[in-house]
Amino acid sequence: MGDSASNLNAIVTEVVTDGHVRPEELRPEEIAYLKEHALKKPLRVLDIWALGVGVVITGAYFGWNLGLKDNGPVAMLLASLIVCLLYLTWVLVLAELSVAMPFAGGPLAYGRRAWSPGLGFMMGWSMFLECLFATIATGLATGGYVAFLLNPENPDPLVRVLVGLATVVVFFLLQAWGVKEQSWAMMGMTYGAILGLIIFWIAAATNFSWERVWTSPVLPQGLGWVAVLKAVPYALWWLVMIETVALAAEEAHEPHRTIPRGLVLGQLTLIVLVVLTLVTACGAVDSQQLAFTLTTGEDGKQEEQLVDYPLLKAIAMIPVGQSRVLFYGFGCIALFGMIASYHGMIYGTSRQSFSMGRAGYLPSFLGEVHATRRTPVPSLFVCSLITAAFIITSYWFKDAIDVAVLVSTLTALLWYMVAVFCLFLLRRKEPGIFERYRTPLYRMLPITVVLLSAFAAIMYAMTNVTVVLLTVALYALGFIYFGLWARKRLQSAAPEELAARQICAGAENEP
Amino acid sequence: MTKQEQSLKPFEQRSSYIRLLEQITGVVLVGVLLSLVWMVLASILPELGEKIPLQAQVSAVLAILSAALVMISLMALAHTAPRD
Repeated sequence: MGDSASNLNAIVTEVVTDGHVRPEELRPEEIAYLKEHALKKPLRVLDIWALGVGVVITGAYFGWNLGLKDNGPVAMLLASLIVCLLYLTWVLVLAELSVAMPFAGGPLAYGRRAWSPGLGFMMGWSMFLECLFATIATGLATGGYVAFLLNPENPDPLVRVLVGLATVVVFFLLQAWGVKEQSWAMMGMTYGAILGLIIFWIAAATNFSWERVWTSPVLPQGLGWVAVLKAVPYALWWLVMIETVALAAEEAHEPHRTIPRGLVLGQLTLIVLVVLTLVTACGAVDSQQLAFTLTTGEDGKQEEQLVDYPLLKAIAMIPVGQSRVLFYGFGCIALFGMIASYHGMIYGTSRQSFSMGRAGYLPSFLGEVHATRRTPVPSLFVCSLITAAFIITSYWFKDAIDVAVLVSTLTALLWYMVAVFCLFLLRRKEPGIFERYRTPLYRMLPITVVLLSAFAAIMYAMTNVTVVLLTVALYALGFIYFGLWARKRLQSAAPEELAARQICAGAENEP
Repeated sequence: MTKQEQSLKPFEQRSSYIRLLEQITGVVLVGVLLSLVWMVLASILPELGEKIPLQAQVSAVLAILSAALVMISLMALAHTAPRD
């Protein structure tokens, strides 16, 4: 009991110190609140690497291939390199923010501290939507993937829904169990997902032709450079969600060391995976066949059906893939990619809603943690419930997965740009909090993030206007709740609020 | 200087090699931004790039993007390397 209490004291002290909060100014009830809502801090560089790679690796297994349709492999390669650059610069900027404010709230803390509760809510809500819709998309895709493995000719929608629901239940239980336990599981699944890609590269290399990658003409006639611009929104799916790692900062040991190193190593690993997967897949089979399949409709007309399982389809189309051992063996291992990402995404969603609930921006019960395991069980439960509801709904609404992917990507781009605005504001207001880690190319790298994000967002909005309207509606819903209810009920003892309040007090006391 | 003080030392004071790396990366990043401008302009006004073979244009942009990725990767690894 005594050990447990002293451990909790040590965790609270570390949270307070890492967040640049002055412990002597905390009131007893605030210390008690922090103890009740503190998370453990066991994560190290390898855990952060695994979380970063694991949560994003699903991008290599589905989604990106839709960008090949009509645009071709070279346009997709260029778009993918642009997105790789965006994310490599973004993780360096994110590391600076994350080390300065290592709270589970991540973007909520950045906006709150830099400007106001309103901006904090906007950023926190953006990341919540990004994580939630990515989780939904991956849950749906996992179900669809298993349904295809069981019956490649005619995947059963009911199997898709049932497997999706089973994924939700299993990972709710695993996440509720404990942070370190789920981190071990994440590491195992991440290794499995990488192994799946290595098997794919080797198999695809047996049928590789450079002419399929470097086509003639290099960009489609009639489209030219437009093909690259059109491929950008799909290329984003390769790497979106890496920022989940920032939410782990509160649970990271020595975040100023572990977060930047873990993020960079994870991002570089992912870039290698992106390039090798794209080049080997497009070199093994015709790129258009990775994007869609021609099927005959009920009226006898040929229809294009988009492919949700490009790597498995590529394996099935090459000579070595005729082996059932390779087809089903790869299919089973590739499942690691889907569930590893689902695991990381539900982690991100639950941590974001936990921190917003803890600080009063969302209903306060979401900010509770389990008494002994210190995991945010209510938040995990609610996020899993919403995901399950979407999976069930997808039985009737076939476009659910597309909408989920697109909303997730657009909300992500929006808060990347606002995060850089917060970084510049905070560097001016509180340069002291950035002493432990600073982004290389002090101003240029964050500006590059804004320009690349704006570039991608414009390309995205040009091709998917209806999703923009849905996203606006979701923001409106959030701001109505915040404006009418949450704004006057913010919890002043939450770490994000404490840190922001102390800064305001410090500024007022200055001569 | 203790290990903790060393870890808190501002990054810019630690290595002139890394500063050189940053300067080169900065130049390459300007090249990336110009490439994006070129892509957008050539999409809107296809006649702009007619005098240069498309394959040469694509190769140049590919080289700039690849160089930027390599430079930022090196810089990021150096910047986040464990400090003794």
